[in-house]
Amino acid sequence: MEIVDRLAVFPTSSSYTSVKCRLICARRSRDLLAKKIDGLLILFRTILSRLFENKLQVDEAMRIAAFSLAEVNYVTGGVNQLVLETVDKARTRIRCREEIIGGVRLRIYEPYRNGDDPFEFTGLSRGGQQVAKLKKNYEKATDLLIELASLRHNFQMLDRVIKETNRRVNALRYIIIPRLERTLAYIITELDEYEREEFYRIKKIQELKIKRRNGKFSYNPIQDANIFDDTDEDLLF
Amino acid sequence: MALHSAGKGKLLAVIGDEDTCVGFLLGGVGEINKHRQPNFLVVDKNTAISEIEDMFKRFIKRDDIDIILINQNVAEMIRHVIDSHTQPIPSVLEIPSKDHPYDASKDSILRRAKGMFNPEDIH
Repeated sequence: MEIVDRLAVFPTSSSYTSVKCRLICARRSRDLLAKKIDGLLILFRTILSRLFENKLQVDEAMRIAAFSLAEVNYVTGGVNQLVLETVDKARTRIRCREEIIGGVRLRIYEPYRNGDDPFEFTGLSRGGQQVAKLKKNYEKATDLLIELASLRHNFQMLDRVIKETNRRVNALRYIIIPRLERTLAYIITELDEYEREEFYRIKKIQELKIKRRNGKFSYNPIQDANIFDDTDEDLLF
Repeated sequence: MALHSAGKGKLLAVIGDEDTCVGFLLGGVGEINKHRQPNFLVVDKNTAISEIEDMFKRFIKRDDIDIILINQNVAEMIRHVIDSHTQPIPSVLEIPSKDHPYDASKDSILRRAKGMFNPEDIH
């Protein structure tokens, strides 16, 4: 027996309507999801180009920052231990904003600063200017890195969502819609078959009725059912 | 549509050599919380790899950290731990260190991103 991949439904006219409805819905959702992918791809590409730009800026900023740290160490004769020991509360923190675009949650990190600088007195005796420059350079690098982090995060999220949506579109296009189409074709052929059978049956009945009306129909159920046929003259009793 | 998350903001964590840590601490990202746990780890040549791994895992578990900065040469040491971290939060950024030049070909996202562009677009 031929195995056809279709839904297990009885071929009735009500299932015909429901399957047809599902087919229309599937087609519409395929079109909508394809549009969603297009929209997300535009966003994805802008994020990608910004990511590259930002990456170059970060490299540059990190180089400058590392160089100014060397300058500070040269002038002050080493602040590393002092700094590592005087850490208290963070001045630079990350604030997170969430944006929802096309059903995707994008996180946008923003740096914000409050509170006192714990290293106010670093470089007080020597090299104060260099230390101030160093702080500024590292703050700039931190800002860029925070931006990079949010770009990367959004890149990953979008990448994931686009892949997922692509899979859905492909499943609709290559599996679900063809299956519904096959089911619909099957229902149509079966219904046609029924109709032909019905037509034949009606024709046959009509034929019988016409025959009976014309009296050519020999079969008489009441007469034939009489076993005691007393019309025979040769019968003795 | 934008939603502002409540609270006083999240922290950055730093894992790297002494100069990187000191730089970022001066930039104002360092914090020691009330359990006396710092949000940075200074890696020198005596630091065991297991110690770095533990610290990295602890940073991932802490919910007040959103971004982890890690030197690329340190990241190479604990690559398997970083690769097994697939959640989007906290995001892990690999940064160049003073002694080791940054190798962009090891960055998974950049590699993936470059594949989407034509080779002549990248300079």
